[in-house]
Amino acid sequence: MGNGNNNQPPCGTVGPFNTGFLGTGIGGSGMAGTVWAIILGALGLMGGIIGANLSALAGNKPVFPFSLLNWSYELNIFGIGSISVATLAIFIVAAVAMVLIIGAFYYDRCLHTPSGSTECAAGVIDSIEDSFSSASDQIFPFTAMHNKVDVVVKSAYWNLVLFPGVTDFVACSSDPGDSPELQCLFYNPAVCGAGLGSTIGGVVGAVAGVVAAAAAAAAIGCATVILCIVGIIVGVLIVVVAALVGAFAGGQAGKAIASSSVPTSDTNQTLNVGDYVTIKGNLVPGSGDFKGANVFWFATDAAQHGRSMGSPEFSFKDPDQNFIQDGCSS
Amino acid sequence: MPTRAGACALVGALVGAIAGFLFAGAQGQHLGVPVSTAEVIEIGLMLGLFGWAAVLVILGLWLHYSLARLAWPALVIGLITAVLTILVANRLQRPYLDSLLGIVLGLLVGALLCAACGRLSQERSVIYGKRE
Repeated sequence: MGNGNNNQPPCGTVGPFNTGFLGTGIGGSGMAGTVWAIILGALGLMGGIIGANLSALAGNKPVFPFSLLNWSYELNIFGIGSISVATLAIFIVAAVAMVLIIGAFYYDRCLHTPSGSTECAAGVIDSIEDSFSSASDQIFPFTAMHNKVDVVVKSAYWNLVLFPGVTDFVACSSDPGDSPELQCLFYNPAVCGAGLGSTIGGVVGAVAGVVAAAAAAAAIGCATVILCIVGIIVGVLIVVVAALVGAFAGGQAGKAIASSSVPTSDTNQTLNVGDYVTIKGNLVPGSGDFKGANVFWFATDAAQHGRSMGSPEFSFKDPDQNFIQDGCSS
Repeated sequence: MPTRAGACALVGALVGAIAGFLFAGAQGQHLGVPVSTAEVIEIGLMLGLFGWAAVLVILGLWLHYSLARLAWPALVIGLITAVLTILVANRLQRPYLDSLLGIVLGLLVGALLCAACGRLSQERSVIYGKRE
């Protein structure tokens, strides 16, 4: 709830506080740390395992249970040529990493709710960004975010925009007064449909990609170190592209099957830029997905209270002067 | 959210991990076979470019960091990290260490270069964030 604190928070970066392991973001909130952890963990672990067993060629004993596999054993691929078990393992690791990354986005958007507190804020809607509004979200549907409504909040609710020692970033309108905003996410089923579809499609694509990669690597061969590197790079590229193509197809199908929604009020009226609104929901402090800003994830209730006569970019003075009685105090 | 130096270190670690991991696969199948310095640099540049492309896709397209601010610093960090990783890996001839070596070298190269130049920014595009 607002506390009437009239200390206007500064705009932009005010942190960082949630910086993760050694400032890398790993372990902090948001997707960046998760993606890095998956990639580095997968590559570091599998690289060590594969390398340890390849070292058997130099007389070092491979570690059990990997000693059960002869990593240098040559596999004949459809009569095209042969690749080692280790090379195939590299392609499988790349496939697993891609599926984990795609799945991690789906988990972030839909399978968990970041911890926060139930709060209420009021102000004027400054901008609305619908899901899948960028080309990137169309091509990589698993990266799409839920519908986002940016609200220039009344000064009475500035205390919700910045939590000292926690919030890394304060979003602001571009008005001359640098009016603080709260970003509010409204759940969109199409985002979750796309996420699930992308994950399933990514698995299918990755499996096909491993097969195609093995064939390509077999055709290129491994007569020299450089040729081997080229074959491995080409193979990994094939796996990555195949997984992404599968994720695209699955994501578009999932988005089409799920019902899409736009931000609406409690009376099912579409929210518009310039509306005076009261927003209630789960306020997440320092969300890593939004540069460390406080965001409503999700906004569960929205009430409209008329419209501003002004236009974006709004100043906080507009709702302060024209939107006196909001829904938070009731 | 990573710090500025932490973001640089992560870029280096990712490229180093990729370079080391892929080189381990090839090195293990030609263990003990000497690779000339020229070939090492050639391989390092190849893997560095590959890793750089991965960083641009992951950071720029998926996590919405600013591509314009990211591209050049990530290229420099990536190429130096990859070449260093392959140079050291070729000397050590221990494939099981290659990707871990790449991660460590990448962390160091990224953090040091960023600290020295202060060029890499972790600011995102306006899609999921507001102006600074």
